[in-house]
Amino acid sequence: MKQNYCLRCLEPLEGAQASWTALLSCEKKNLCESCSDKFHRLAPPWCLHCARPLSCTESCGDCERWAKTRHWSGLLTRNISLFSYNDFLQELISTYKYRGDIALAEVFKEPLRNFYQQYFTGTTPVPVPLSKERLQERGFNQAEVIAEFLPVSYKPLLVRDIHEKKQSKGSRQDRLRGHVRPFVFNNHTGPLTGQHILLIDDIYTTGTTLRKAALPLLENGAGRVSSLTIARS
Amino acid sequence: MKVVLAIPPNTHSPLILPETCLNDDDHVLAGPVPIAALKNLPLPLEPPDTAPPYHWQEVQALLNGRALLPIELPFGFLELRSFIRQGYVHMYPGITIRRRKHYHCRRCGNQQKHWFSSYKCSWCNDFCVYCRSCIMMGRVTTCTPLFTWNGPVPSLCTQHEVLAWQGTLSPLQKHAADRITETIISSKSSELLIWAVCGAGKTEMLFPGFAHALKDGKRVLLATPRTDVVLELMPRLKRAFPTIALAGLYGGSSDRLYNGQLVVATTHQTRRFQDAFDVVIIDEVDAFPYRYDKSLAYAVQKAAKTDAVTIYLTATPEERLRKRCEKKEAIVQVNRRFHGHPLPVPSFQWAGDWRKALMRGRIILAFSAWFDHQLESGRRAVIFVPSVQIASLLRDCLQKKEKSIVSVHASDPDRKEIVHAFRNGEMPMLVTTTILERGVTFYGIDVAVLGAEDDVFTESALVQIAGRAGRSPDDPHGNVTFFHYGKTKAMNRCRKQILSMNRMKTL
Repeated sequence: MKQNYCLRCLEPLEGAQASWTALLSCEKKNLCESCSDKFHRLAPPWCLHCARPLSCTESCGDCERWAKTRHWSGLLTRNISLFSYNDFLQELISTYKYRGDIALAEVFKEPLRNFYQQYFTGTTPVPVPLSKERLQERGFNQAEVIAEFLPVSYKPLLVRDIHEKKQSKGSRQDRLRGHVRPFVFNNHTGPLTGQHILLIDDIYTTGTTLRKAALPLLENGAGRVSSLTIARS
Repeated sequence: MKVVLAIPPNTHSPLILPETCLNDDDHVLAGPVPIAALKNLPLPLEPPDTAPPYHWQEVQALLNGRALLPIELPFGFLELRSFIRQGYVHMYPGITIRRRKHYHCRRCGNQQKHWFSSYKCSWCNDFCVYCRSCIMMGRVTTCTPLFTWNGPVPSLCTQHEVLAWQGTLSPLQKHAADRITETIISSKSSELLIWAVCGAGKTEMLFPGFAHALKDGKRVLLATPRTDVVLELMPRLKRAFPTIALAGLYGGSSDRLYNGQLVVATTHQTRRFQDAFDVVIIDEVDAFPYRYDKSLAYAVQKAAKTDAVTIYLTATPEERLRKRCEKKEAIVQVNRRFHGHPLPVPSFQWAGDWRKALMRGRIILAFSAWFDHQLESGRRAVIFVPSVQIASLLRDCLQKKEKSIVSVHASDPDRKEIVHAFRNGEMPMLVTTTILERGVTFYGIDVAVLGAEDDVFTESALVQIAGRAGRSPDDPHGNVTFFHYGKTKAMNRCRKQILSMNRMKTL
């Protein structure tokens, strides 16, 4: 039997020996227990709009505020994130995204598929694009790699034509203030016809990037835009 | 990026060129392909005789003795265009493919299949394989080249007197120092093992040899497994060799691309070098990373020139190395500390199921008695524990008795500051994992190990830990206590080794 290794800490995985559980479960483990325990999985009760953990399922304060602003209301129907953005996930995502250890994305595959099937069947996935410069720098688009895992194929409907400075370095205020339009609709088969679009990205922080990405889609005929993200900070 | 194998007009030898550096009149033999897909890779050309491009010294300083990825360059690789075309800068694949699916990372030496992964690369619009083993230093893929310098080697100016250190060596130290100097001067590509007890004054023994090498304009690397050791050695070496360009490299250090003549580096950081050093000192050769991580041995070997002198320093040599060096008579023993006093011998103290007690927030009586005694007598101590979790549990318990006690472990963000504070005497005791087991000097301390029976405390680890005590000539008799829940072979062997070292005749 092929020896499996934990994707994150590269330790050999235990339980490689034949056992009934290993035989009967179709799930393939790719993390050791001590690593997979460090994920904080999100589940209801949470905010109906942004998946923030709450004591009962309703709309959270931030989302109420989004709904009241003139420019931003109604852009994003719903966001769901897989995990809470704790220190462990922060390190994992930064190794994935900035160091470029693409193999780590594999750990998100199972939960991502499950969430897609549970909440978003029938939607059209669209990964949030990177600018040309950023793509050249990284060599890959972290959202696209994740979108590949979904059971339906994604459509690259967006192009990012403004090269913004690294978001992770700006404060919340900086991000909220930006009223630029970094994303442009780009579809060879013409405008959309009322589809439900599902944006795919790595982190939901304030939701501004996702709302900015939703705008050109809605202007070009999308019915609704939701988002599925790895981490909710 | 994709590369081509091409012959520029008016020359005969093929060159690897980035696709974007190709001219219209070049004769293309192969490509454009990812660099790993090229067959019959050309060797670097003879150092070119044409005049180098403008500002070449900067590129020389950057790439000589190094192998860097495109993203590690402080400028875009297109700026190297004329250097590459003239042969001043050579490119070779970061990953080579030996047979189908047998990859070899040329930067870190990794050949393990499960430490490679593939992805859809937008640098070359193809599926690329990359090395996960050295990912923390930037991604090496089948389409990334490593850039090296292939022009004239910078000559380091020779100096008259470089050693400012005025101390004297004990006769034993002197003997070892002479052997080191001899080895450095005399023969090429030779090795020497210095087997010296903890606190023998290894660093000082190196000074005369270093002085010789540096005077002759040679480059010297001191590779050590731990960041703490780099931090401790830097000021000492700066004082000893004030006129020499000194670089200290560790994860997160600022002089990453600084070209020192004397380089102190953690072994991970030596991965960026290639054919750079005439003298390589490997400190604590038996320590954790070398034994388990073959890639570090690869890195050190790659950093050294082919005819470099290698000197190993350790208090606990591994059997194989010891035998190899004994055969060549390339081994020097230093079995006394520089102050001439014997090594402190560890005493064993039964501590029962201390772990269970600690989980319940209590400390075993034997240990708390020792602790109270230390506090009363005002003797400072370092307490070693088997894991990070135990360290924080014990710290919480001990803080109830004495508020200033802290713990430290490898990934502690304040590690540097805590060790510094303890050294300055700001707290009576420090709880630590094995990170402080080697190469760190605190004067006038006692040592305790809680849970000496744990697997992490191997014979050599325990010898090293015991060697932390009694290092000062003013206070040469530190106490070493192993609190245990059952004696292990490692503990007994450690004690035996120390006793036999103490019995051995000195020169």
